[in-house]
Amino acid sequence: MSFPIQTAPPNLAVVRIGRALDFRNAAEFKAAYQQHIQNGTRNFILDFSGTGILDSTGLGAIFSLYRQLTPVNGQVVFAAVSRPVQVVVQLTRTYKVFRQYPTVEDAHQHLIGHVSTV
Amino acid sequence: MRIVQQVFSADPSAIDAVHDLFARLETAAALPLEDFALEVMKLSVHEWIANLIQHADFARHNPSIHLILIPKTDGVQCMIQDNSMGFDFFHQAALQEEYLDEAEVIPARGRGLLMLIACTEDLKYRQLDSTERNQLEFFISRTISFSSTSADLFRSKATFSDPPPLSCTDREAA
Repeated sequence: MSFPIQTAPPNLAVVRIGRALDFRNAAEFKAAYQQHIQNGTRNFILDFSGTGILDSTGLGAIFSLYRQLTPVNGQVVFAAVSRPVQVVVQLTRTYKVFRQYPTVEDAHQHLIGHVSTV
Repeated sequence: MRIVQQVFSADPSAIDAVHDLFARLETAAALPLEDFALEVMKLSVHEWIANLIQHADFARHNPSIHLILIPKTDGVQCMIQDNSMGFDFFHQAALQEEYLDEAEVIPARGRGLLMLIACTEDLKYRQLDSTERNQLEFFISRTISFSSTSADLFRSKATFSDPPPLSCTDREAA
């Protein structure tokens, strides 16, 4: 399993989570975003369309990303959240931390506005 | 509705098998659970089996995990038996609870047990008397609300507090 990441100006990346983000591939996910942070990416859209599995380890990896970006004014937002992902977000109350958008395009518009006002 | 039973190996392939099983059960409407409750049941089984795969010591046996789902009038009783050496569930859960306030120094994992405790009812973990097997047992009600099951498992200085979303893309498409 891999995590295709598409970059876009300004300092923005869209990560397609795919079928699953759990204990089996959380380390791979971390390695993927780490490389982009080192290259200057500060805002991440996580595309959950078609994601059937998100477990506590996967959510923990997302939280690690959030912790790295918060001090540098970065953001992590969720797009196209599937039902299994929504259940985890609700159970863990992480909707308080990660804004959600119906589509990647909607999230992109929000982040462009955010970056331009920083 | 019939009792559902399946035996899994204790390796990562078990996770896909668990999700395949729940996909079949959902299609067949084989469990008396509404959508949210079914997702909570699936997640709970996933978290426990993931925990066994990652942390249990199966040294003395050929590793196996036995899932039993018993439909009741008001929900589903779940039992997950394994032949590992077992471990101190509630001690480990207490450690995870302590770690919540040390999120900056503790790796961002190890919240699965707390999630299990938060989203299930009547959770018990014990060694079965007649065998050397261990059993995790819990109940999921037919209808549950997230407000009664959620827990702040990733404590942080939250940036905002929007109300929880009422829908998601799967439901909107349905």
